[in-house]
Amino acid sequence: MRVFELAKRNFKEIMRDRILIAFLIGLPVVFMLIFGFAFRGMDIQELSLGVVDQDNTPISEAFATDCLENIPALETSSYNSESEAMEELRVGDLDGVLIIPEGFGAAVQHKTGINLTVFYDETDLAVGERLTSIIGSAAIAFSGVDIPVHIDDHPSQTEEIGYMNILGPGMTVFGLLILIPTAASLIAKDKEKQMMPRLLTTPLKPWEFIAGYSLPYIPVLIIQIGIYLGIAYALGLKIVGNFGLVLLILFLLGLSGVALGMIFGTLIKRESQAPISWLLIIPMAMLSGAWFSTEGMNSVMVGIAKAFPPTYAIRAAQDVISRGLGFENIATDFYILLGFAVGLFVIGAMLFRRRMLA
Amino acid sequence: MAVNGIDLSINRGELFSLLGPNGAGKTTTINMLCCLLKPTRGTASILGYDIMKQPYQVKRRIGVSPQETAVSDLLNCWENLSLVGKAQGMQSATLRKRSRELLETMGLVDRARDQVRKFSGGMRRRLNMIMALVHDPEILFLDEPSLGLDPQARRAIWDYVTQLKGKKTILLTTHYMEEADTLSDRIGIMDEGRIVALGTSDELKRSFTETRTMIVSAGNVTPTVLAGLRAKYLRVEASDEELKLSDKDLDFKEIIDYLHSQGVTVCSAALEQPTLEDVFLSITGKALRE
Repeated sequence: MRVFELAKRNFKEIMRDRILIAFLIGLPVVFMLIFGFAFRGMDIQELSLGVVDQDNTPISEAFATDCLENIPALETSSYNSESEAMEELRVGDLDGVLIIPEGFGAAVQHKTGINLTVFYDETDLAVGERLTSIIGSAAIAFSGVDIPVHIDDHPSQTEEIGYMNILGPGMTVFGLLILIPTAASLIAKDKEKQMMPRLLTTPLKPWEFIAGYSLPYIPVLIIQIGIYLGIAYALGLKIVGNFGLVLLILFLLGLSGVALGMIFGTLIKRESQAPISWLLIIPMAMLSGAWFSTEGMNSVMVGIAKAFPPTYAIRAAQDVISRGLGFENIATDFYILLGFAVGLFVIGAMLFRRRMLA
Repeated sequence: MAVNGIDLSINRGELFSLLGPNGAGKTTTINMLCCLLKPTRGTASILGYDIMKQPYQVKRRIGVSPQETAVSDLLNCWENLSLVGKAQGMQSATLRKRSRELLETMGLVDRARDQVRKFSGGMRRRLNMIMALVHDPEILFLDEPSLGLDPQARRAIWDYVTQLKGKKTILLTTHYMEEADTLSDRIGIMDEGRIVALGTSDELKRSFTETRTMIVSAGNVTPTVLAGLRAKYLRVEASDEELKLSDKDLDFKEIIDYLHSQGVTVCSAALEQPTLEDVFLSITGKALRE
């Protein structure tokens, strides 16, 4: 079929362009290595803590309300049962859960030692350290400095995860965004070097052009995802949830990137103009949470971030990779991402048809 | 306006050249005929198919060699030809056979597996033309096929175009007078979006150049001889041992007889042929390369 001939040619053009391949594959990998060291132990702003008071004494109540609620770095909320709080922690709505055990009030009264249990979200490595430190200090201050307070901390995940669980998905998302200038430059190059006009004098139909310039990126983005995740895995990435779902999320983001590239490529005249798309890529990546936590970001920026597909991709990917959530938990993000991919493709195709084939 | 009201008919099997300076509207004309540009007014048909209403029927029957070499640098010759051939719906076996024939004819078969980025300008030009021919189109558009080539490569392109004469209908654009003069059955001279003159090379030269010039290499030209010539002809210039006579009507035999009768030794004599440049100059009042 004619469309496959065009797709095959475009695939060869991509794969034989060594600089482009180095850029497409190498840049995120280098970033992964550099940022892996540079941002280790990065701090977060405010921690959300669920408190389960199993003691139910005036003293434990005073600790939960008067003491913990007044700590600026904490945003506390009370839960009646441990399971309810743990579910909130599991889906990422809480950073940690504090269990105040039976006997806490008596222990404080009699100035004996007491063990507090803290569960925390290990998705962000800084959380556990900060949370145990804050609660420990608060408990000691509340009960008297000479009374030992032991904190039993438990990560919320069953598997131990490392910093690569933050960086790996973030860099994969960033790498997929590099598809935008790549796809744009292929179209712009063909326009600039008169290949596009030549092809437009053949009986290729509009849909064949659109498919011919999009299809070659499917194997490319599959290769990208494989290499990025493979390297991240080698550097310590642990995927707790469904691996297939992770691939699907990243694939949808890749399609959005190709569609955005098609839009850019149609609008620009020369290949040298393709890097203009970085003006979109950098804010998209920065605001998505791919590189660092966006907690505490002002509402305007949060609103802008919601207009970009990487925001949903990184959130859904993190939920599956590090929290082990299933499709039902990330369905909203998934469908928004799907909507972006389809919508951007339709816009790209319409624009391509209008500009190139009018 | 790049093209402004062209009324033109090209016969089947004819090699028609559009000659004109840069910006005359030649490429725009070709782009419209190839369905790359929509004319704001008017229409055209190719082999009976309307370029506006039946673009796919038109595209199936044309081959285009654009002004800039439209080839994929990272592909080799076979791959470039495969792309265009398959886009035109050719079967693989036919495509391969036809590609080989053309690559052999144009002297590229030995380099056919090399990526085009390693090719010289002339080789790229030849591949550019092969890509227009691979699907054996009935109509061929050659937009400045020899632009920027050295004389040898230009000659190779001309030789091949000459071979195609009569077998294909060819519309060629050029701003090289010699190219149009040598290759064309008919020539349309374009300027500022219009065809300002149309005909065979000889017709154009006859119709649009009013004066003829004769160059005579002679000895013993006396002032009396010169006075006699100046009395009869519009312009007579004498330098060293050369006479240059210009007028609407120049009778070769009459001039030679007159010179002999006056004792002038005539070494050689020739009527200078007007060029298409002269034609263009006489029509537009400016040189072709301005």
